[in-house]
Amino acid sequence: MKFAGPGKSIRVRLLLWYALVLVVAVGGFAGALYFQVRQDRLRAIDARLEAGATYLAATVRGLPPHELERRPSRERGFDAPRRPEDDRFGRPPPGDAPDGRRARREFGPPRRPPGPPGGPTDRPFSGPPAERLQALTELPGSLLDDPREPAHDAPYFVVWRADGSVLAESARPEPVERPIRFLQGAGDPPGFRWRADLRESLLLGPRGTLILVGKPAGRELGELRTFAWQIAGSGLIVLAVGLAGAWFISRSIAQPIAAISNTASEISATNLTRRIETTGIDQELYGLATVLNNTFARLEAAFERQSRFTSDASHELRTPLAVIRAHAELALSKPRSAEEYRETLSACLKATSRMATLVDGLLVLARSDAGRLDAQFSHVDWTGVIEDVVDQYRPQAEAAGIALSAQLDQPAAVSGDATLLARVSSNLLSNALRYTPAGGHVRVALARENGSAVLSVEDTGCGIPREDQGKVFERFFRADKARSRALGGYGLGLAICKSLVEAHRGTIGFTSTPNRGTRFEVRLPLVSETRAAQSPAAGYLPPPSAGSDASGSGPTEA
Amino acid sequence: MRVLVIEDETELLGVLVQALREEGYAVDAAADGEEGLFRAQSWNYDALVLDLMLPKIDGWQLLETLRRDKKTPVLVLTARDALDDRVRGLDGGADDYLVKPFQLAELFARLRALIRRSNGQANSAIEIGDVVIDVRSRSVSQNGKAVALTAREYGLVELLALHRGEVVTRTQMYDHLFDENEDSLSNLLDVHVSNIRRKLGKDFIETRRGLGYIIDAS
Repeated sequence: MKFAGPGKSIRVRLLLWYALVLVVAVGGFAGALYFQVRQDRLRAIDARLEAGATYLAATVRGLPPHELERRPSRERGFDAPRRPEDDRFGRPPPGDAPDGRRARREFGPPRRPPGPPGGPTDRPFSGPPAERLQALTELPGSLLDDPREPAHDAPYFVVWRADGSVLAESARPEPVERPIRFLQGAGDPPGFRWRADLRESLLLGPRGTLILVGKPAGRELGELRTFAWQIAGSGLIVLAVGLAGAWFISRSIAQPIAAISNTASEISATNLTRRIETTGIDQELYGLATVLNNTFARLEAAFERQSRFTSDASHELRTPLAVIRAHAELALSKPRSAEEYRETLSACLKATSRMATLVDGLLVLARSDAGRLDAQFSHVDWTGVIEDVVDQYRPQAEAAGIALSAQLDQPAAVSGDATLLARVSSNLLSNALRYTPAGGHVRVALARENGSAVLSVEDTGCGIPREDQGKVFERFFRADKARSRALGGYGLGLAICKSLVEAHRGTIGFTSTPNRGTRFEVRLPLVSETRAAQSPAAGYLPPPSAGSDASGSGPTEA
Repeated sequence: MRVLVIEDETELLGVLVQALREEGYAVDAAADGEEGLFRAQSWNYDALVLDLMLPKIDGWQLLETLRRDKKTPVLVLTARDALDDRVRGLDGGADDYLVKPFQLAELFARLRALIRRSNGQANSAIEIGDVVIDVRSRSVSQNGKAVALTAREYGLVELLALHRGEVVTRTQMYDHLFDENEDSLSNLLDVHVSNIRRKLGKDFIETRRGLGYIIDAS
């Protein structure tokens, strides 16, 4: 099927398909029904005509031979001029049948011939030959007498002799000539033909006679026509009802789809908090709507995370900016002493270095997200890297009165970037030192376990509150904001650690008991000394698993 | 005018307090929400400068609690500039909004406008007889000629002018002109008043014995 424009619509295609199927089915059924009925009606007529013809043939068989061979006289032949006393079929008035004559003239129902008393004459007339001819003016009553039949529909007949002259005939509505093609040849079964709406049966009788029995079938044809119209009407009604149903059903499919797509486009265009209505919607579409809703929910969560991150980042960047600006404005508002200027400058410097640290952290995260860490991947001695970091923090631990111990006697070769790996251990160590009170312990250890190197940083600090344990790897998350800020944290350290560890195909997790301490664990795959060269190309790292939220790794909500 | 600054960023708090003091305000400071709320509830400040991201009690919560019994004008100061944050702040009872990093000049102007409006004064210039007090430039002129007042004297004139026709008690004056760090003697107020009377005319400020002072009593 080829359609411009609307053909693209499923609904229209569906309707057209329905229409085609209905037209074929209903049309086929109606046609078959009509022809079946028509066939039945015609067969009934033909059977009557055939019975009439057979009766006549039997009657003719019993006639004296001279009747059948007699050549028509000039006066009696059908070429002869009609005499005034002849009736309109060119036959002499049968004086011996006074009532029959009137009946024939009026095309009335043929009267039963005065046959033997008792019983209808449906068997051939078997009287003496002279009476037989007499009997040949009528067909037997049982073949003719159909009480439902109006007079003008009554059957008629003609019997021709072999030479073409009329042997016998009944009254009939129209003149009929002997059909040429039946002149020769013989026998059964009788042929049937239509002459306008006259149905006629032709039968070759004994000794070259030709018998024609006919019947006007106008009434039957009219009834069949009415029947045809009735079937056609019913068919059209069925078609209309079917198409209307299809229209409504297809609308009930198309409408919710349109509604879903409208809502969906509104959601993407305006706000992500809206959802597609799923109550009272069809089963097939419910699945679609649910899938879309889930997608929107995920999208919304991602957007929210993103906007929270942006807002947090801007907050963290704007605050030191505000400090710098206010200091500078205040210092410039009037002449100050050298000491005041020095104070202003050192406050600005402090704020600047704070911003620098923050920008650096954000940059690492952004690069890691984009999979573009400027990492130089090589074969790294992780133990050595950690050792260096621990040494860096020793003075700080000593100043804070924290015992810092390291158990780093096992060599561990991993594939990675030494600077980034140092950053991971440095972040973990500074966190541990930051949240451990004086007199506490911080233990750093590196172990080998099932082909992995495991770095653990354990402290006896304040621990992470249970309700916050699921969020520690979120960006800008701080369990205690005031304290964290006072201690110089931004809430990015652990997010950076997670991002970097994942970039190294490792995992990071922790266990923490409030007021007892926290233990962070970083697992990286070990590389054998010989395969060190097969490390990934420098400068490119696949992005870490999407979202990089806390749920990705580590014991959460323990 | 006495204002309270609530800001957890100590560096910013310090510089704000100093700048506001230099601008002639009596300034109290609070470093977290709890302390800020306590102070805001216990004094009738002329205005509050409030950061929203505060430890212990955040700015929105503080606003909500404060608004139950105080109408103190609040200028919200925050690094959050998202529309939702601003709408939430203003709906939550803030009177004005300033996004960090801000300019001190803008902060001062907004504070002045807040204080002026809260005293039912729409114009930045207040005329009392032949004296014109320009709140914006913090200057006073008489018959078109500028009159030199000290910051303290100006603050007193401004306070009385904003409450023109009403008696301002000595307690009110102390509350609005001096912050808690100032160790002022009660007769200091009389000294300021007599200095103002010397500069602007004897009848500019009337004394109501046992009650306080009044400007433009008619």
